Formats: sequence, C-alpha cells, structure tokens
Amino acid sequence: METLVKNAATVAAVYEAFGKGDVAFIISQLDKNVLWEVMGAKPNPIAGVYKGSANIPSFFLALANNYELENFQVQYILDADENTVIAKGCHGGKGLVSGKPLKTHWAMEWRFNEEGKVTEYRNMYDTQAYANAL
Amino acid sequence: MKSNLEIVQSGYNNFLQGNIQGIIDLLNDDITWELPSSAEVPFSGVFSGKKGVLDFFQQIAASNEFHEFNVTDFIADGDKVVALGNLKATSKMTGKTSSNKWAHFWQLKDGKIIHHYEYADTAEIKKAFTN
Repeated sequence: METLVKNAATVAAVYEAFGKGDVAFIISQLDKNVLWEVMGAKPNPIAGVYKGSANIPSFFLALANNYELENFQVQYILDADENTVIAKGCHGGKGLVSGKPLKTHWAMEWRFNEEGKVTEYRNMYDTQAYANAL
Repeated sequence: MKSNLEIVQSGYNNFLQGNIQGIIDLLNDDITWELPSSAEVPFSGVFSGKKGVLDFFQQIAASNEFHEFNVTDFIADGDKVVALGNLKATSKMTGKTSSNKWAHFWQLKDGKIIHHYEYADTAEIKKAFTN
C-alpha cells in the first residue's frame, strides 16, 4: 500500500516538474532501461519508442522544438494497481511553425519497479490533432 | 451487487459476443460517449444518451471489420475504471487495415456508466479511413 501511494505521488511530482520545465527531475524518476512509448508514427516528430533514460531528453526536445503546450491539466491519477498508475488530462497549445492551435485529451500509463522507478511509460493522445497543428 | 470493475468487464464481454443491447443496459440515461472527432471517421465525436451510443455501435459495425480486439489491463479506482488494449481492423470504406493501441476511460455513477472516452491513435485511424 505504501509503494502504491508513493508511485502515484511520484507521477504527481513528475507532472509538477513538467509544468516547471524540470526535465532533469523527470529523468531522475526513470529506471535507466525505461521503455518510453509515444503514440503515433512518422512524420509525427514526437512519436516512437525511446529506450533508456539517456534517450528521453530527445523526446522532450522534439516536443519543445515543434509545439508549445498551454494549460496542461491533470484531471485524475488512478493508482489502484500495485505497480501501475494511470493519469488522464488535457492540454492546449499550438504548433510552433504553423501557429495552428492544438488541443487534446491524453491518458498516460506509468509502470514502476520495486525501487519506485518508472520502467515503462506509454502515452495516448489525439495524434491527428498534433498532425494538424504541425 | 457488481463492482464498477465487474460492470465494465461485462461490457467488454458483451462486445466480444456481439451483444450491443447488453452494453446499452449498463449505461446511465445521461451517458456521453466520446472519441476525438474526425470528419473522415463515422464513429468519432460525441454520442449522447443510450440512443446515441447505439448509433455509435451501428456506425462501427457498418464501417469497420475487427480482426483482433484484446483487453490487456484493467485499472479500477473508486468510480473510475481504465481499460488498456489493442485492436486490428479493416475499414469497410477503404479496405485499409490498421492496428491501434487504445485506452478507454469509464466513469460510473450508482452502478451505471455515465461517461466513456476513448484514447487512440487518431492519425492512424484517419489514414485507414482516407482513400
């Protein structure tokens, strides 16, 4: 039970860090062999499977180079499973090149090991909305 | 009395057996059933009320042929349930086949489903439904 509450708290802390642009904190919560799966396929600039914590900055870079996110909201963090936390929310923003608006709901799946580090991350969002804003 | 998790699980069992009325019977009258909206995809957008959800399933049956539909995880927390899974389907409109991982969010109220939201790779779905 303690682990469970702790994992949900870690996810909440990760979103707080994301809001402040503190990518280093996010990376520090990941297992070094983390599998980080971002929904979609090329030419989506952020989509793909990023393997290992050393490769995660390239995801945040791809995001920051192509999109500006606004009003990032976490609606629920579901923490009923021992090693899995699911969060859902929404955000707005725009494509940096086109200036076109971006709006999506998202769900994210976080899986933890015994040490409380993230071993798998998967996000689901409106990939077509991201394509339209590119 | 069934738990919220059991209610949602029975919905998937009904779907896999083709028993759409069985799903409708699990819904609150004020149900909102939502997928990100796309002009190309007939089963996208917001479907309201039991009649709206019936329309959603009719649109799905008319436009999609499922080859695979798997639920891999259920996560239940109070009045909320999330299911994770994957599917493979062919668009009857284009003949194109696509695979998709999805997450379904379920909000329950007094033992009935009142909100459903589907997260899926909408760009992939649009591609399958565009000639």
